[in-house]
This record gives sequence, structure tokens and C-alpha cells, in this order.
Amino acid sequence: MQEKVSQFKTDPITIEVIKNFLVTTCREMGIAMMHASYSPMFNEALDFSCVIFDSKPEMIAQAEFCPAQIGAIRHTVKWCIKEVNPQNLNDGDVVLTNDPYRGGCHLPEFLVVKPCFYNGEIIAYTANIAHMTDVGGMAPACFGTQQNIFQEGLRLPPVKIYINDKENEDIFKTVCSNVRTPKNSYGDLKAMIGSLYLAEQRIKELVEKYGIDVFQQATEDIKNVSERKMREEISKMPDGEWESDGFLEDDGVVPDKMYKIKVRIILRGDEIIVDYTGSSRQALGPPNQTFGVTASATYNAIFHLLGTEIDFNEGCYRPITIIAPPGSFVNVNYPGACVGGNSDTHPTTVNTLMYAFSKILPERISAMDGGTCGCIAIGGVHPDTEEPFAHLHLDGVGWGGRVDHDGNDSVFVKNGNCGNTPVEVYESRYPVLIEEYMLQEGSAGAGKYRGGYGTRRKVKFLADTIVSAHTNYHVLKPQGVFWGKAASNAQLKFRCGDSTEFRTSKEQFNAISLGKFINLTLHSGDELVWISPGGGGYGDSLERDPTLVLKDFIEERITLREVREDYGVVIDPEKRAVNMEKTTELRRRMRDAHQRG
Amino acid sequence: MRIKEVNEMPKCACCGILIPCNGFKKKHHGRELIFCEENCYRVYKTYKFPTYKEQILEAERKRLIF
Repeated sequence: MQEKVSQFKTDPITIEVIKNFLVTTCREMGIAMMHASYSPMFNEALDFSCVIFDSKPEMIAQAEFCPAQIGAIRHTVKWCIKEVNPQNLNDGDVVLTNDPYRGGCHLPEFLVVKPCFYNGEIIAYTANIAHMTDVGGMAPACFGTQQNIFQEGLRLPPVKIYINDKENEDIFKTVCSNVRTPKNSYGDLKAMIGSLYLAEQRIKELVEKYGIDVFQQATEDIKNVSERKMREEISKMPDGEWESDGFLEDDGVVPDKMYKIKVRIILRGDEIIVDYTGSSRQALGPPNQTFGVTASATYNAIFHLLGTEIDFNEGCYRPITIIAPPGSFVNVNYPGACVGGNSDTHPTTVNTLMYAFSKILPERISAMDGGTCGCIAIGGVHPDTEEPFAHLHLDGVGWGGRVDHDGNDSVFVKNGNCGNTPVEVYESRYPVLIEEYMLQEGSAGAGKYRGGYGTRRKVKFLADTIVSAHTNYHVLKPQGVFWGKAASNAQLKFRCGDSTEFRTSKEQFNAISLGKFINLTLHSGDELVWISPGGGGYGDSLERDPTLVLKDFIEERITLREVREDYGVVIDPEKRAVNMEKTTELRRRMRDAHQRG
Repeated sequence: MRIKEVNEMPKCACCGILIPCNGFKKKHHGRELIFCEENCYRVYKTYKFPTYKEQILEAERKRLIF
């Protein structure tokens, strides 16, 4: 028997140990940021990602943070270092940028990169990218209906924020004088930079233990192992081309104009080309995607489908090529606005890719999720401190049903992996009262495996507050797959003054869009209700196990009417039991009617 | 030093990413194009140009980016 010869120079155990050490270091960076940061966007929502690059610079480790950032950071770090030029970097320097056109996600996402020196040479880079709550601009917390980058806020090309281990005060002053919450921004930036120093220390410990030659060879092998695994996964799929179209309902600026995301997936041997040619021209408003967001969405969808056994580093990205025409909805040109591309267009892109893959991998895809981060930005002057505040609230949605499971309830969309702001934190830090927070009855799409449920949250403002929003699925609905049904729409309504009626932004403020608007003034005592969309269903709802339908009814997720009309199940509500005989008969009649109709 | 800003920087002829620096030039069908990396040049030759040849040449005649 011929012995299989390894193509890798480092022994497999050492590869695993070094790989896990680097991934654990990334996780440790995140925990340090969480504990040291000031803003709920960091320490509650965890809207950040930490990575380690080698000297090339190529990504060698990442942890399970925000998928929307991980795909982009691959490009931002590389281009940031090339632009600054490694020869201009010294030990103790840290580079900062938030430029969305240079591979970033959107303006609020700040990237910091630190070279790691060993014996006078750069052996690695530590980096993280994180969502700063406020970046100046025309709306508190950035989200709204801006029409260009200048309205969105402060844009920084790659600049040194630390020089020789000392703060570059000029940059800190520039950032802090251009945002509404300078104390938070200063603290958050320091938390980001602190985590870089932590990772640098860990990398040096690793190199001390194994030696620089083993470290460098192992990091090469780590990437090559991932590339090989990814190519093997891709090779299992048939060669061919598959297409799908997705739509975003409006941009908050041009009334009722929908934007198309056209996806063509080309499978050739062990590589994938994802071609977005044919997508809409870039929008006037902010839902445009930067190249970084489109790349993130593409990797996000593909890794959801293929990546269960693959370590995420440069290697697994290599077989994937993305084509995103400049000036389109998926690759915005300067100075187009783009803050909403990372929150609402990203999940729409992932959903569109899932539909294209449904023809190849029907057992691995899910139906559409709620497709919006539910970004509701608030700002004003806090009556207790008389200081400006700004906060971006995120909320969960229902996820789509899968081949063997119902969708998750109230989980942040696939791009973010973020948490919401807990009620206690929201109320203690900002002048609001959360009056209701619950799963929204009937919001899930019916199916053999139904979608997850969205949520309902009612907020009462305790001071005059500026409110902006960038949300989605108020007009379109998250669709089901394989005869699964669509989920319910999102709703965002206001009750102002003495009125007892909740009204939409169009009715109350003459806004152009139901879900995207900027700088609406609400007064103390006014209320807002946000209902997030559910997820679409997977498979025919008439095939759903009647006992699961009964369970949903008992848990008050669906009404008796939905039990009957959506699932063809007959329940005795008093006995809380399924009448199987009548259910079988009802389902037979419904199938006959469907075939005739 | 002349500072180049993003509106002046080239984009990869294949994938469309902005190239702040160090893009490499390749000759293709008598035209000089800029790519971000070798893989993009390969995909341009084997997929993008054959698929969209007419649109690419038309865009270039109008000095637009396809």
C-alpha cells in the first residue's frame, strides 16, 4: 500500500496548535474590546471583528464575529497596508481608516491595523474593525436617507493614529471633534487599539515558543489547508451557471423605486465566480453596497452553505472571484451614500445567493430571513446630563425555515451576528422607556418547517429625540422556498402628542418611505412601535407535522384561523388536541382546491 | 507629493475593486488594463471578456467602466 505523502511542510499537530492559538487570540481580542469599550454597539451588540494577518499581508485567523465585516476586512487590511507601505511602518504604529470606498463596509466601521515586529521585521499584522456609533454627518448614529458620503459623516483615509506607541493627538482630536459622542468614540478607539497590543503580545509568545521559521511555515500551511478543503467542497457541485434576482424595496429618497441585485453563479471545477453584472445602477440614497459589503455577502452565503469543516482564512477565499461592476448598486462609486448597504442590502444579497444555490444545494439553503437589521437611530440631548447622545438600535428578525428545522426566532440577520440593546441598558443610558418587547404573533411564513418569528417593540420617548431609520421589508415580504409561504412585513409606526392612533412615517411626517427616513423630531411622551419581519417557510405547509402546529397554537404564536387556513389542521381549542381525522380530510380538500386553482 | 483621492484611483478591470496602489497592468486585445491580482486577470480572460465582449468594448469606446 502506498503511503500518502503530505503536501504540507509542518506536521499536522503543530498546524492545529498554531491555528487554534491564533483563532483563540482573535477571540481574546474581542473579549478585551467588549470589556474595555464604552458604547453599547461594542459591549452589547458586539458589532466588531478581530483578525490576524501574516506579513504578506494575508488573513491567517479570525474568530466568530460579524460576517459583514470579516469579508471586507480581507480587502481593507491588504489595501490599507499597501497604501501606507510597510516600509513606512515602525514598531508601535497603528493605522486607522474608515473609508468605505477603500474596501470598507460603510462609514461607521473603523479599521485599526498594527504591524507586529520581531527582530526588526514585520511578521504579522493584528487588526480589528468595529462599528462606531456616531461619525458626525447629518443624522445621529449615521443611519437615515443621506444622499452622499459628506452627509454621512467623517471619512478618514489610512492615517497613523499611534506613532511609536504614542497617541497621535491630531487624529484623536479630528475624530472627537467631528462626532456627537466624543467620550464614547475615544473610549471605543482605545479599546480597539488595546486589543491589537494584546494580540501582538500573544503572537510574540507563539513565535518565542516555536521559532519564527515554524511560525511562518505553519501560517502558510494553515491557508493552504483551508484552500484545499474549500476547493474540494466546490468540486462536489456540478459545473454550470445559476441565476437569481433579489430586490430592495426603496432607498428612502426616490419614491417607490425598487433596486435589483442580479446574481449569476458560475461553477467551474474547483472555483466559483459570482457575477453581479446586470444589477441596478447605484441608488441616490444610502442602501448602496461597497465592494467590501458585496464581497462579505458573497463569502457569507457561500460559507453558510459549504463552510462547516473549513477554517476561515485567506485560503478559503482564494477559489471565489467576485465581479461587481463599479457604479452599480453592489459597488458604489464615490461620493455615493452607502451606510445602509451593510445593514439591509447585505442580507438581501445573501438571500438572493441562497435562491441561486437552491437549485444546486436544496438541502443546505434556508428560506429568506427578515432581511433587515432594523436600524433605528436616536439622538438628542440627554435631560439628565445635558450632553448629546446618539445610539443605534438593532433588533432581531425571524430566520427562514430549513430542510429539517424551523427558522430561529428574533435573531439578528445573517450579516451581523450582533445582539440587540438589552432593555435595561437602553433605558438606563438613554431617555426612553421600553413598554413592550415580545415575539410578534403570526409573523412567520408557514411551511413544512416554518420561518422564525419577528419581534414587536414599543418605545416611549422621555425627552425630545431625533429619530432616523433604515429598515426594509415594509412593502416586499421575505419569501419562502419550495412552496413555503412568505413571512409578514415589517412595520414602523408612531403615536405623537394626544393622538391615540399609531401612524406610519408617511402618514405622520410625510416621509417618502415607510422604513427609511431621517431626523424626525419626536417629543417627550411620543411612542414608536417597531415590528420586525419574520422568516419565510421551507416546504409545503400542508406537510407540517400537526403536533408542531398545535404547539405553536398553544404558545400563542398563531391563531386558530391560521392553524386552519395556513396548515389545514383542525384543533379542538378546549381540549388542546389535534383532530387527526378532520385534519386529513381538510388537507385533502385543500390540496384538491390548490390543484384545481 | 500629489495626493490621489478615491475618485482618481483605478478599479480592477475584472472584479471592480478600487486599487489605491500597486495594481498591475496587463495587455489584453491591444488594450492596457489594470487588475488587482493575477487571479482577476485569469478570470477576466477566461470568463468576463468572452461573456461581455460587446458591452465591454462599447463601454470603452464611451470611456465608461463596465
